[in-house]
Amino acid sequence: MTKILALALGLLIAAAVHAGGNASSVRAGGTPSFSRADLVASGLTCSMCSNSIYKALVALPFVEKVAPDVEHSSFAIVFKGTPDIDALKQAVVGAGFSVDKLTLTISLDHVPVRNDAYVTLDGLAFYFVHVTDATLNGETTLRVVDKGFLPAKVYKQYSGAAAAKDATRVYHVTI
Amino acid sequence: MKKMILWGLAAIAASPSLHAQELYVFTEPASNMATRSIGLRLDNTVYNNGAYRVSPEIMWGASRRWMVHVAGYASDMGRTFGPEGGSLYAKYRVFAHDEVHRHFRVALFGKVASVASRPAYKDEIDLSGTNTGGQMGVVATQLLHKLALSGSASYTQRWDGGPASRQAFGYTASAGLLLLPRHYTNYRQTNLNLMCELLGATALDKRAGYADIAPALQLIFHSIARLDMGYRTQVAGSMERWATGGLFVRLEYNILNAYGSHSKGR
Repeated sequence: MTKILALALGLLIAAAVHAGGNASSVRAGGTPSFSRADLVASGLTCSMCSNSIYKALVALPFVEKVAPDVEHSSFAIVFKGTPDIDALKQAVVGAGFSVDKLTLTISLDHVPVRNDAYVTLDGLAFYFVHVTDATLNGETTLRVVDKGFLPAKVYKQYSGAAAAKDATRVYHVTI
Repeated sequence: MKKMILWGLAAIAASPSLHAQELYVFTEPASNMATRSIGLRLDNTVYNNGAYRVSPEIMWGASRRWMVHVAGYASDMGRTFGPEGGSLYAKYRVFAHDEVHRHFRVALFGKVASVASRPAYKDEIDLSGTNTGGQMGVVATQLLHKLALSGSASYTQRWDGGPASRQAFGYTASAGLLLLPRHYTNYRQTNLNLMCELLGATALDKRAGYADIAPALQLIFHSIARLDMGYRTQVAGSMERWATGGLFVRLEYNILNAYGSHSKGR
């Protein structure tokens, strides 16, 4: 009996590892996961500055690769795990610059969203603001509208929206 | 000495962090280098009185607000070539407003320098190898796409012996223009920046002062290594000085994310 249980447990672990290892947009258990992000940084022009942001981004443990666009200070980031969204911002801030825009891309299968309501995606809590009620299907791009993820003037448009109050980190996003 | 220069030349291969246009040659901008980055410099000056000074320097991006420089000085201003002393410089960014391809920043800075005892007979206070003393000041920098403008004001006090001036008000104005490349496509493109700086000081305890103009060219390789070439010359003033200018060459190499991880934020 113990042997059967141990075997079953082993098979379960193997299945979970396999599922997590071969999926870029769907991890174990069929949960959709973020595949990439597009980040625009502000406060810089030259390639040395862009390079300092690039080096900070590629050093993040959940980042697979980064394709920089030096001319436009933008970075296309591919993930290899659940992203730490605050760490993306911190990489830019630590390099001495600011985030002008951050969008996250995820492939969804009929996920209903409502304005001023939470949805958990890829294990992270998102609070949707300035959206109309809809069912999201297919590749979806979410823009993070928390302070520090967009210019101060643009943030003011969203800061009046209902603030999420939760013990864990909740990201405010819009479509 | 020769070994140091050779080492510096070898190091030129690669150094990034700020905005190239404001990586001024004779002054510091209000921006800091990237957190957890380390920069290595080798500054060489051939003064217009024939003297030579070399200064190795290590720079550290301690946080997004703090950066620190430690420098050593050696020259042949004595009878033979030898070490003179060292300095510690720190800069704290107090304000930053960023927009795409633009920013405005303000920082406070301080410097202390200690050199082997040498009574001062010249009124210029130089904390880069000549005098023992301290300095504090404020610097503001505006980036406007390919042009960067910067200005600073400082107070300097000399602590070593001798009858020369002990206090000075310093001021600088700097402009940097990114000339090449016209359009960025990758990090391997060589950047060319044209700089022009005004460097001045007025003694606060006697009637003396000077103003220098310092044009410079800067090459940046692989978005990581830097070669600065500048010439400083006096355009106004009557202050007694060791030298009124000279040729300046700097080699710099930066190591980004030299240690630790960004994953836990600042």
